[in-house]
Amino acid sequence: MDEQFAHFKSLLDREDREGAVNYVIGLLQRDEVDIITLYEQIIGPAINEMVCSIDGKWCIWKEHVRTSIAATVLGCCYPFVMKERRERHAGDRGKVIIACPPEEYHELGARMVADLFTLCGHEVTFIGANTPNLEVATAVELMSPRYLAISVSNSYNLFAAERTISSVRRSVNEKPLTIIVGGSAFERNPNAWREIGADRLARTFVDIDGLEEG
Amino acid sequence: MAENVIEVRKVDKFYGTGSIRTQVLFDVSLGFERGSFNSIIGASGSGKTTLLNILGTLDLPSKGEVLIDGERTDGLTKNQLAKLRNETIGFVFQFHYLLPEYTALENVLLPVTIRKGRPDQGDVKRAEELMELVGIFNVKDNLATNMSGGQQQRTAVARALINEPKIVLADEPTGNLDSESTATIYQRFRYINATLGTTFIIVTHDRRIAEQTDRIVGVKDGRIDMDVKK
Amino acid sequence: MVSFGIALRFLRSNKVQTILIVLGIAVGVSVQVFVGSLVTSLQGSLVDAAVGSSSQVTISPDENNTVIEDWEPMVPSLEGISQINAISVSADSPSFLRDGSRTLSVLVRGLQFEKADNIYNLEEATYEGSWPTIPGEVLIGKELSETLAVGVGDDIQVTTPAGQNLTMVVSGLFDLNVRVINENWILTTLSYAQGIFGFGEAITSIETQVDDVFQADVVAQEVRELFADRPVEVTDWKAENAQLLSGLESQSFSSIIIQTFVLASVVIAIASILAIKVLQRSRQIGILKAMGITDRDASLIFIYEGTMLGALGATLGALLGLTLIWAFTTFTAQPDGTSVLSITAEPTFVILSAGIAILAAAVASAIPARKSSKLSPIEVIRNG
Repeated sequence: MDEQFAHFKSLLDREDREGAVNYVIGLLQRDEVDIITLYEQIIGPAINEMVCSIDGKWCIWKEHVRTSIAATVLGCCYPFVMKERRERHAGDRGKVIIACPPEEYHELGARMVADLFTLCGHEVTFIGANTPNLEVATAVELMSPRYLAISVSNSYNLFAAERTISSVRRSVNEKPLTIIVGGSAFERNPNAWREIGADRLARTFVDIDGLEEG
Repeated sequence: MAENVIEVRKVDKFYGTGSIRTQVLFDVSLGFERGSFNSIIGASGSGKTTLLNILGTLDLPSKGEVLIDGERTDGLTKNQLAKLRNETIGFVFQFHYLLPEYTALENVLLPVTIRKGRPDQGDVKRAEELMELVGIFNVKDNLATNMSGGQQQRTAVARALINEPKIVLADEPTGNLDSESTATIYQRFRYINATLGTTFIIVTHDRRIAEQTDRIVGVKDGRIDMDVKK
Repeated sequence: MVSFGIALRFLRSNKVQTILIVLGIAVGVSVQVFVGSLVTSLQGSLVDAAVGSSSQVTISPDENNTVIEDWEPMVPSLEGISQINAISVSADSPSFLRDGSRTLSVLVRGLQFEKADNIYNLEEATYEGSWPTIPGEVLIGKELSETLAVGVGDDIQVTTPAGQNLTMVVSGLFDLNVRVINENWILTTLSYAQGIFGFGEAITSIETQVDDVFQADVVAQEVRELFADRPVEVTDWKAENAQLLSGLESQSFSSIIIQTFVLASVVIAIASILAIKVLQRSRQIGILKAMGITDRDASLIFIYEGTMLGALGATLGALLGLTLIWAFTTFTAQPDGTSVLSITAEPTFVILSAGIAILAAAVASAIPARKSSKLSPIEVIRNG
């Protein structure tokens, strides 16, 4: 596992898109790893640990390149997500909308979470990055999902997330809705989920899987 | 846990008297660690500027205490407070408030002049270094009125730093600047924080600044709304 | 020191304003110096004309006596009073002068001529002939000589109150610039007068002059106390010239009124301008306070500004005033070289005027200074 992580990370650091895609697909095809382990222990950490090594200064462009590679890799994983879902015989667990607050552009985490929800059997609608509050509220109103998952990577966007949640709560009246939050912003602020008005904090697949149990 | 270099405890602030009193701050308690790099955000009228002014002893709380380095400020005389503002706290306001009768260099040296009457060579050298740092060395002998807005604001930044204060309080320091100047100023702040251990508290609307601080305190309707770490 | 530097910079940065204020103060001070000196000099001339050539403190026999006996010791006593700078004793008596059929009343005065000269400027006044030396010689006035049509060397006939007819020889003529005196006085030696009037060794008055004519009454009192045990009375020119005195006093008074108003306008000018400056500079003061300047130093800035303005203005004003005085004196010169009125500026007065102006400036800046002291940085920052 560590080996796999190290290998994948080096591919990402070298910005080798083809190599990264081939490697991950190879692992999945050969059943050397499952989606959950792949996401939580290989791709996830690799993305979080992205560091530019030019003079120790953070280069935003490099982050974008690597993010894009990771996104391509994730996209290529989707057939395997569907395959694993079938194998799990996951039942129907209710609709979930996944979004990021306005100005939050890091959506890879949300992408991975979307796939994990899919694995569990949820019907997932992925809205993604930088979604205006009213749009989220409208989507919730029209689709009446069971869950709304909001991903926040940048702690600054916790303030925006709070506003998103209050917009949604104002418009949703009777139908039961559980608002879940997650993302690296909550690593540094473990109690923030309560302060912004969310119902649950989900950090790992286990949390996501355990949602139905209350 | 590192000590709080500056703190407010249970602060209320009222304006006006009698029947037309408005309350601007409600039971605010907030402390900042030494050497930290913080921002305070909030909508206009949320009370964040009032909070900053109270932190900096420019304004007095109606109730509650302000502590600097663990010492209460309400016990200090006016002259002791003046000394505090001169040596321990550096202010950067939204408007530069430079003295138009003086050159950029003289403006930067004003806090030194106030402190000891006449800056010596070492002070001048330090001022010039700071001006170099914020990129206004080339206009150092210009009268304050003879500089662009960005240069004036950067002069004000250098002035706030000249006495090597423990704490820098900045109220929308880049409010009137373009994005390049904003980025430059932010970088200088971070550099000084890293090398000198100066504590920064920056009130800002600008997310580019706020999201690069280590702690963001949100003020809403006179209360602390959220307090997040980056 | 920081306040002084800031004050200087504030003044230098707005040169026009500074120059205008300094000029305003200068004009005020120069008026004060000029008017004050003018009035003082005028008064001096007036007084000099009035009593410069007459007795200022006079000792005469009291109502019970006609002469002063044993007068010799009195002279050294009088010399002991520092203010007295001239002492002349006289033996006077009214007499009659016969000129053909008419008879004129005259006053025969026996004097010690050298001493009397100190008071009456007899040397200058004597325009023909010389002073009497031998008994019987007299000095008569210009108008009398013309009336009698007599000159030096001629005789005149005088009858004493006792009825004695005497022939006196005119040795010289005098002009004391007062017609009445020129018509009535006949001056002769003390001993001759004592002889013809039967005074023996006594005299009829001791006349003196003092250094400060306006102190004559004080000196008179001193003399009165000195000779309290003698049957004499002491009078001074002030008591005898009440009208002149009140005229002089009202002149002084009006001069002081002028000077007070000038001073008041200087004070008001400085106070109002500085008040405006504080207002204009409230932002700068607020920022300086945010940077840690003490309330005291903030207020000192304006005290220094006011005082410097006052000092510059007062100095300029003093110079201007002195120049005016010089110009007045020079350009009112009469053909004979003397001027209509020669004004002297007394150094103490000029320095005092300048000093008061500077003090007034400092006081005028007190209110703006207080405002500056009370200004809180937060007011300035809040109100942008």
